[in-house]
Amino acid sequence: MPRSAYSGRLDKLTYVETFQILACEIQVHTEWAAFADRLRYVVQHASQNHEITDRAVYEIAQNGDDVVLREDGVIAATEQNSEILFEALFKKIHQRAFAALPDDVRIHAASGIHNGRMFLLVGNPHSGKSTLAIHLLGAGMEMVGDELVMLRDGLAAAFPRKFYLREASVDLLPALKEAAPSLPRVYDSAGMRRMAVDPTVFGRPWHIARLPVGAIFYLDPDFGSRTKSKRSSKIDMVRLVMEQSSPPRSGRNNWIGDLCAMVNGASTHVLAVGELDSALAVIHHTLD
Amino acid sequence: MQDSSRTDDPAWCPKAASGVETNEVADGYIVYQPEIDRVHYLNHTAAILLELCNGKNQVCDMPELLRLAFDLSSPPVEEVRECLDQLIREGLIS
Repeated sequence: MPRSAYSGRLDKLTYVETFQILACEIQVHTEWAAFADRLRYVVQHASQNHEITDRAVYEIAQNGDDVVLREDGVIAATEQNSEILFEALFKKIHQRAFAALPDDVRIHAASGIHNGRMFLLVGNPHSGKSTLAIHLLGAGMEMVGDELVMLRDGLAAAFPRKFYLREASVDLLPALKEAAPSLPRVYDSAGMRRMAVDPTVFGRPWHIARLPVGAIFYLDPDFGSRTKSKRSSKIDMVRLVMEQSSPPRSGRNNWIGDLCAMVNGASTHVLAVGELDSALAVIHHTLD
Repeated sequence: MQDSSRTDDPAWCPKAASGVETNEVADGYIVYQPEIDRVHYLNHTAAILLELCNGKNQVCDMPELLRLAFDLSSPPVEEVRECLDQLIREGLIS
């Protein structure tokens, strides 16, 4: 049964957003139109058939000169700067969603679905996961995530959050140029402006499901060159994926066994990622 | 199909598959079979048992060897049997 959502004094808070992140239902209340608009950066409506086991209620309200964030009625942060408070809200929401999946392994990977199986684009931060994922999306592939995949019992699901693209990368993505001006943007912790994209921007469905993994590509940036792919041994891929993985919060044993099973069941490739159209061709060819 | 009932034979001296590479990781070992390009995760007990599978140690001696290795009060007979069955199923010993 889901944990009960807080039902305290929310009456005067005008704007309410409710959305699901796998096992967690999130509700955000605020009385500020400007803050509600900023929520477009984080709120997503991907369809998910995951059982909800936790519900969280966040309120953002002004208290004198301060902006206060409450989580289930308890003050979680107080800031004078609403940007910083937004960042705190973003972190709290994701921490809560992760906590609702204590047995899952987290893997830094963009992900898509092809013929009923997941394929993963695993890589370091700044390896081009988001840019490549959005390029594949624009080319008609079913991309479901740009950053995180949750793995348990041999099945993987994209962590449903928007794809966060550096504003400077828009030039690489012609398919996005028309939609770009209306996309929500925030400054990230490094002071870079990022915009939030999801499959619906391209008029495509966005469905999150737990599926077996059919292919794993490890992204090795080689920007400026033509993209090339070479097969990877399973042991090399396990090492690469482990570097991009976080153990389950529950501390359950055998999570590395889960990774091994996933790698054994997939075709494994190192992708020297350069020019995006050639990356699309290589990935298409490999998956088919 | 491997026959896991081989563990019923106390005189059997199992041998690890050829070319198996063992890599220590947190809480266990990743074992790699290059011939079939396959990885396995083993806990410490299973990894030690795999090392004992050198074609010389008999199945009947393994519980006692493990008892000594882990300073246990009694030989883990049933655990060794289950573990050997798992190693057979994984194709890591024959």
